[in-house]
Amino acid sequence: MLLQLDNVDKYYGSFHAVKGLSMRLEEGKVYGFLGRNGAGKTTTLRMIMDIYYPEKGEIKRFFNPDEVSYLPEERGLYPKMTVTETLDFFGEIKGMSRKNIRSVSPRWLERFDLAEWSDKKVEALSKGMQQKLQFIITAMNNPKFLILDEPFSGLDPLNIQIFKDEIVSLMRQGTTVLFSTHIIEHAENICNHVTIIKEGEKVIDGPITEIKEKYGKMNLFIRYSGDGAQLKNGMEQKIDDYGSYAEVILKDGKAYAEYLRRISQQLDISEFRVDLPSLKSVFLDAVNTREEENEK
Amino acid sequence: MKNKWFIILKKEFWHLIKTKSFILGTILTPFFLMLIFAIPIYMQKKNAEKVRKYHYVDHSENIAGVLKEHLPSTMEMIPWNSDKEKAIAALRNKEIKNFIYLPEDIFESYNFEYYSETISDSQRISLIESVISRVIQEKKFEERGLSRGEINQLLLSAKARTFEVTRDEGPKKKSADVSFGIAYLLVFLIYMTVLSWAPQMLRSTIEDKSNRVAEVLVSHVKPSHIMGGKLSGTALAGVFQYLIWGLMAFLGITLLKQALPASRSVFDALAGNINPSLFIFFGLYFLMNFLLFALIFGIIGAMFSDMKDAQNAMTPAILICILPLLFFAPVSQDPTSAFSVGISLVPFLSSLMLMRIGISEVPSLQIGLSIGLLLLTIAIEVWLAGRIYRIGLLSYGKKPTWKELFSWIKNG
Repeated sequence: MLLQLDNVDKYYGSFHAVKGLSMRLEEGKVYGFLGRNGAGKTTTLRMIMDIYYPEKGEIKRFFNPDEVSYLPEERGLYPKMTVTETLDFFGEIKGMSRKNIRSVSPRWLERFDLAEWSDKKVEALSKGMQQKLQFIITAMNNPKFLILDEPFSGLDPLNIQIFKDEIVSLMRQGTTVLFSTHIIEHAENICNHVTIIKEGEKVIDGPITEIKEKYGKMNLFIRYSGDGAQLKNGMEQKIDDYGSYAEVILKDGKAYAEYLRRISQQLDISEFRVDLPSLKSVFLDAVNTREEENEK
Repeated sequence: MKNKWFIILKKEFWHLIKTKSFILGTILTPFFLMLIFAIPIYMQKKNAEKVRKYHYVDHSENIAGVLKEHLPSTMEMIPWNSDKEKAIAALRNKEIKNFIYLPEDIFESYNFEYYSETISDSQRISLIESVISRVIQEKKFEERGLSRGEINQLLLSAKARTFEVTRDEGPKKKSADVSFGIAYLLVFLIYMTVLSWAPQMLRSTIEDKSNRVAEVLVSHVKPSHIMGGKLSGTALAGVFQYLIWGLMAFLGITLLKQALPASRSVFDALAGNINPSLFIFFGLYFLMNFLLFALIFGIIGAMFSDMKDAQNAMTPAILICILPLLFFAPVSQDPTSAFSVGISLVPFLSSLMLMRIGISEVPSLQIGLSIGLLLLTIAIEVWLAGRIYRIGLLSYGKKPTWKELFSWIKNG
């Protein structure tokens, strides 16, 4: 166990920003923290970093403060510092010795093509280079636990690729990563585990495969000829029919073989494709269900 | 979280002393101050050495002759053997630049006339006035049969010798001007320092916010340590600047003493008038005043993310900084009055207490009360700043309302 949140509540005045949130993070896994803008992600990460204090509940940290590194969404560098000074300052703040900083920084700069820029001031660097430097100062202390708040926001496409590769390589070295995002596709490809929150409340929490199985419904894509009315046989939950092509979601997501058997008796099927649900559809579904429940 | 204020201190200190404004300010300020003092002294000296011609029309009984003997060699008296009207005409025609008209009845009226293209030479004119008065007085005493010795005795002028008497010490010869000058200088030094260094806290805090570095900082360094590091780094940069200036002054005085042996007595007299305990109080009030104001500026910096908004809020703080200047005159004229005592106890005006310590004997109860009030105010500020800093550093965008500020203080 690396981190445990038990029934954590946070208020801003009368606004209830985080409601009874519980989370458990095991070592060596990648956790996605999903939610729309304003759902309470940043507030939660700040509470984990001990920047904000919860009004209720408890946060148990099984790591020492210098073993964690945090990349906030609001991030920047001192424009007047040189690249070397920047690495020294932020390295020291993260508890590294000057000697240690000087021994690891050449490798990092080399890896991100910044070696020639070490004596230049940050303001002389391009935005993309500044983003790389930002990532270096986040990861250079080889953290046991890495917290990234919207790590891909504002990045150019090339840097998104580089950042993703670096996160995966840290993950392989055993670093636990917790990252928040509102772009679900990023989480889907990197995470082992996701937590979805909505309006400060946890809606879904678990390993990604389990979540897909539990909450997701298979999507069926069918190309056919014949009477489209035959697609309705009581098994379906939702049909989007275009005349010779239809998208179908079944009430029992796993019963697609039985469904195919039944409709193929009535219709001429030229294509039948089963697609696993995307995390996005789970996310949207979960959020919408909640909304409907709230409306009721 | 380890105590990382020292890392912030280091960064703040190096960052400050590497700025152009620090380097230029450190080098240029002493030269600028020297010029302010040196130019008038040099001009005066040069003016004093310049020989000036004074024409005169003497209708008295040769008072000009005696005048010549008493005036310095830089004032050359030249007779203009004609009457007043012709002399005026000559002045108009620019044949002469000036003339002194000494009328027949000068011994009775004590009046003479001075005509010139410009009448700005007041120092020399007043010298002529005092010499003529003296000549007339001497002549009148002579007529009454007094001897030269008696006359000199009668015409002695008074000179005050000043003594400061305190409870612990008997009368001690001291120059009122010098002790006032030193007290004034020390208070001014505090005021200058506070005004030039305390707003640095605001700039540095806004910089962290506008560069979006604040959140990375607070995630690894406690907000109170960030603030402490900034305060001590800024103070250290200020002290560093004073050390450089002190060294420059020491070298300057040493050189001056060697080049101009006459100046030695001036510096020795200055040193004799300095009370060592005043410097201990100076150090104390200097530090407390810096903290008092730097904390206010730090809080303002944390409240705003935009330099423009912050500058508006800074104006009242700067006004409070310079408020003591308004009370300089009344407090220095009557340092023991109830008004002076009351006003110097106000923490934000406490530099006036230092002035009172410099020029009068202040009961230790008052000093104790003043220091106690200052420490209490600083403690309240530290508490407030700690709470506002934590939330303020991470608040971007719009200005906080009073209600929001109150909730920051409550929830911080």
